[in-house]
Amino acid sequence: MVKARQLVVYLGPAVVFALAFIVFPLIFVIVLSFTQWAGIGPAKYIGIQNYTYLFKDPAFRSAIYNTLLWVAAGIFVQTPLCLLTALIISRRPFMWKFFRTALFIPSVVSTTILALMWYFMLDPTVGLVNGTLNSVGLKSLTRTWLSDPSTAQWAIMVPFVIYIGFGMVLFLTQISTIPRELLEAAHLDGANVWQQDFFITIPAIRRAIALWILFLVGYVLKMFEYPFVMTDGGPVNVTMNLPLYVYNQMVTANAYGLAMAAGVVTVVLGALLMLVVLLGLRWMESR
Amino acid sequence: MRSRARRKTAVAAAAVIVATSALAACSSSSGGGGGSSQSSGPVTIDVVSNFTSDIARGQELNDLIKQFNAEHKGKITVVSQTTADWPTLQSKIRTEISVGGAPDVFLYNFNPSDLSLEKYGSSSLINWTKYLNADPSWKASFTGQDLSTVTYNGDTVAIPDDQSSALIYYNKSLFAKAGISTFPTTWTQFFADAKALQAAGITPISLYTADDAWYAMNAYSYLAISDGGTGAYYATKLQTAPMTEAAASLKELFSYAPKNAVGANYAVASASFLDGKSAMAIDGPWLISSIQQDMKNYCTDVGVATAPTNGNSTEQPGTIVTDALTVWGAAASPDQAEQQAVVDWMKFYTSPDSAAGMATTGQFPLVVKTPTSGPAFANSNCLMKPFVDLTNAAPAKSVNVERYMTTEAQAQLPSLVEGLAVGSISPAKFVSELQQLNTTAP
Repeated sequence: MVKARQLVVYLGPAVVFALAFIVFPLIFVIVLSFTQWAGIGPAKYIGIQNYTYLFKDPAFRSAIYNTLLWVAAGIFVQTPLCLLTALIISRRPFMWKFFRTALFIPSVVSTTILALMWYFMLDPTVGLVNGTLNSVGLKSLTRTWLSDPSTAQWAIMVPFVIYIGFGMVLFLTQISTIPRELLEAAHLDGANVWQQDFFITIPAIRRAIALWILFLVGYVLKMFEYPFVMTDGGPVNVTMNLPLYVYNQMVTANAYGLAMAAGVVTVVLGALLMLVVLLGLRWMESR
Repeated sequence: MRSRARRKTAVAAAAVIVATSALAACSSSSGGGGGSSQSSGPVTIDVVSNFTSDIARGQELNDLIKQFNAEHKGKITVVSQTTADWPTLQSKIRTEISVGGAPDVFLYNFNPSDLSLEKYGSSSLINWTKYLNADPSWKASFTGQDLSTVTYNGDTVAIPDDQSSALIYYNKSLFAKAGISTFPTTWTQFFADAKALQAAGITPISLYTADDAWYAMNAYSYLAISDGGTGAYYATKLQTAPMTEAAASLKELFSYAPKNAVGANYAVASASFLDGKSAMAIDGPWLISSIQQDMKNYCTDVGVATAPTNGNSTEQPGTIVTDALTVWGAAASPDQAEQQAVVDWMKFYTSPDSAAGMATTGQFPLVVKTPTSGPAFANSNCLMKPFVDLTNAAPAKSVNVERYMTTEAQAQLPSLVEGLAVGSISPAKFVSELQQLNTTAP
């Protein structure tokens, strides 16, 4: 039985900080989202005008679509890549330690630096990508990757999707906790490698996968550097996402009320996505 | 036992509240307010700007501060506080004024379409009217138009700093490679020359669309005034025939820009000119220090010109597009000595000698009248004198169309310019969207 004193001592600081830095600011954000405020002077109450404007604004609609696209790319492209790599490395192939380290290194490099690096790699005139295509006789495939509306979104997603180190290490750690006897017994019963992976390893690490997806959704909802550094949300807003939209409205447009409304929508969207992930996890647990 | 636990809980809660209040009190006691002084010490003035010490105007500002501090030793100390990124600086200043702590002296964009800072901050800002009236020669160093611009409700709310001209820098040696000997004086000739440059494998002009799309909007403004004169646009009138025609020409101009112009920012676009890859850039005087650093033989290879005209009487040749008026605001102080110290600094900074120093060494001409006949210009950079001369000789000036837009419309500008450049919106749609954004965003 937890004593009242313990409750106060253990939970008190967390509750105070949560109230001071999450709950009260969130209430402030919600209140401001119903106002027109230029960051100075009194805020003018305008009802739901900010919200109606948001959903009519093509840039905001693009931001929501792109944020969901990033979540989907994370779940359906990056996560399988993390899982596949973890499954391969867990079997300790030749130079597995080198590959584990090499794949993890980008996870400790600043996202801003990675974004800048890819910005230059995708440069149409001096970039490595077009340079390589030119040198192997594929000049027809060269593009202005970040300036072309048909390629910009996919181009800025590349660094996000291919840097799989953190997810891989998370899965590897979980795989290492699976009793070897289980896999050996399956092997003796005639299960091949694919069957061992699909029927033993992956089900055994499903909680880690769910945790990873929670991380991923949280990261994507906050992710700002790739579109900001590589395209600034362009061309024609095709790479705009929610954090960049909020930033632009607040810092460039001085439209604080509108920025707060976009922030509230981001919080709601994040909560919904988290709910979907948690319901998915519960469904998997119940099977 | 339980009551003791409750008592301790109450004590702990009280301690948290007291600590929080103390922190809040600490934070609210800090902030600006017309300089700070101890009873016997000198007045310290923080000058907040984006004049970082790694650029010429920052170095010149530091030199001026050093000189001023030496002249006022023991009485006034000026300190430069810089933030390199302009939007971040502007946001920071607004926040500080909003919470009642205006910086002592600060540089900001005067936007006639967004006077919220002047409206809500005026009670905490110095009204310069009486100081200007008390010193007629200082007042006379500013144009009446500039002082009228910074007058809000009868108060002079700021001191004009600069309104930089945007002129065309062109690479004479690249022009020569394309067989062009003189800079074009009409837009028809300009586009013919651009075609010739492109045929010679040279990118004709640097443009970009990110941030404020400054190069593109300079070109757009010049194209608009060549069709409709200096009245082609103003704050509430953006949807005009000259603006639509200019948008069509801007779209064409993008076909002569670097491949990465869509999405590129100022650094990328200016580097293209400085690296000798593109032949022209429409930029302010600050580009001169970069040209000096990065381009060999710049005195012979680089020229400065005003934009072409349409060759009719709509626009007088030599008309110049300028940036917005950038001004100095200052926190009002109940302490007369502190307020006087701020006034003394501003008078020193805007004096003819300081202005000449800023224009030559700082490569940043101020808005105060700056004759180029003085000794400061005798040994100045070979591009700065023609730059200032072209500015002084301009028969008319027009502020860049972008500076007539609300901040909300400015925020949407990159996507609109990109849409025009890649062909996803027509010139007519571009102009109507600009007009709509300038009037309807909440």
